[in-house]
Amino acid sequence: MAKLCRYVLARVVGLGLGLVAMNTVVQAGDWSDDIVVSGFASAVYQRTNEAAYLYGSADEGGIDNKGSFYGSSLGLNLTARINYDVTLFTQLLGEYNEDDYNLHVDWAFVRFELIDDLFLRAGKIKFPVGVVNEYADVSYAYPWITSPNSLYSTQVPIGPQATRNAYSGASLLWNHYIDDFTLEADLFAGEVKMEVADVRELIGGTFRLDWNEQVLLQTSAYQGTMANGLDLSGSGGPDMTVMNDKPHRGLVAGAKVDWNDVVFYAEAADVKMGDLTNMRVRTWYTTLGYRIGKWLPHLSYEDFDRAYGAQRQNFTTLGLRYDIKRNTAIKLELSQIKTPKGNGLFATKPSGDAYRGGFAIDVVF
Amino acid sequence: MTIHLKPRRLTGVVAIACGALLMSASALAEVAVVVNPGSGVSSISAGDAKKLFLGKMKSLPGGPKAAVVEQASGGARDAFNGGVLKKNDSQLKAYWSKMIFSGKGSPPKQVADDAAVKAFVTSTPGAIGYMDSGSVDGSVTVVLTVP
Repeated sequence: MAKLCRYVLARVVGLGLGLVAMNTVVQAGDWSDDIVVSGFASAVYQRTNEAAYLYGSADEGGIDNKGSFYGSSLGLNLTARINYDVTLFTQLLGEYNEDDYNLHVDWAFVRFELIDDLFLRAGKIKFPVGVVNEYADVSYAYPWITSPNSLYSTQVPIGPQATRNAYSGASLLWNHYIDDFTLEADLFAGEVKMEVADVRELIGGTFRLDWNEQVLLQTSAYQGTMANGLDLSGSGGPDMTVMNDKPHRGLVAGAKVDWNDVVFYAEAADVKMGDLTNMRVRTWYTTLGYRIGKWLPHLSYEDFDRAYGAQRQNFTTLGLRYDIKRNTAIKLELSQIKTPKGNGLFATKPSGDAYRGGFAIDVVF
Repeated sequence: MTIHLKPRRLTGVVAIACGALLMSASALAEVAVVVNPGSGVSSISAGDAKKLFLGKMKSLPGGPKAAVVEQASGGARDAFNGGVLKKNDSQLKAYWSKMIFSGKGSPPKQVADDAAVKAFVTSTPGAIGYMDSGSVDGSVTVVLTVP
């Protein structure tokens, strides 16, 4: 832990000093109020009754009947206001991966305010597709232990590929406020680099309508071209070269309600990769919860369909969140997983109906 | 650039983070929303105050660019957050978590108490903050009162 703290502190201080130097050049004056450091951490333990890895692969691991800290993460976020119109945002993230934490720059971009409420962003930017995707690693910000993997898993090739972690490119972000309504449009372009394939020539748009932070409607559409897919068949994986040059398209729409103690989420995604039957995914989930003071019990259902019904899976999850402090929440979940066809989000075919239990502590600071 | 760390260390990190958490006191008080007298602003609506403190409005209505300051804890914070922002502490923390960790904004500058708010507002053009009405004097302009 001390090593982690020293490393993270060195990265943040280093970045901070760099920004300080920039700020000194740009605007000689007091800079200390213009740099904000925030962070989050989630300690997660999950276990199933299956030997097959859930949400993972033979190479990378996942959740199985031996238990796993899959989903645990630690992040540090730095916001530096260079001047009134220019702000730099960056986030360092360490995620549980097999038996290590891999600390890396999750995203980092510069935001220019062109005119009031119209921003140009450039750099590595969080992918804006999915209601919670831009803060999917910050478990404190939503009811579940992890965002619903039937839609949010970015595992290749088992995940739905409906959304991505981040893209390198540029975004034009516009906000408009009318009374208690906020309208947001985000047009983006760039590319996504993954370990086993890339998405090139990516363009897309996300539109949000928010009422008083209590009701949110969101829809996204994007397309890109697959490239640099690797042939992993030699190591028992898929041959991903078949994806190369295929158009990759996604449509995702969702709603979120947090009103009068009622908490509701519903999202659906439709993903295509050219004529590749095995990469056609339709997935959706819904969650209904009711806040009772600091307690939030909730019930979720997820449905995952790949390759026109060749891979079918559904999750029914009962969850409970308790806000210990204003910065800290603990969560419990129990899921029943039915896999009528194929593997679903397991790395290999499960032996039958499976169960997943999970516990998490989430902190923001 | 990557670094590999053992998983058990996360537990310690979380423990340290938990140890740094602050308790918030709650009390009822009449709160005055105040601005720098040089801004030329004499009143604002509760709706505009909400937008300013949630980062949805960048300038004082009819005035200069806003420099927003809030209190880190205490009765004035609780009264303002409940009465104007319509959010409890956890809801406000969740709101700013979404904004911060998606790279879309950062919360207002935080100071300790009424005296610190007054010091910031009087010294900063376009500043807006809130304090207990009993702490108001001629160095600031009251633009909204929250019962």
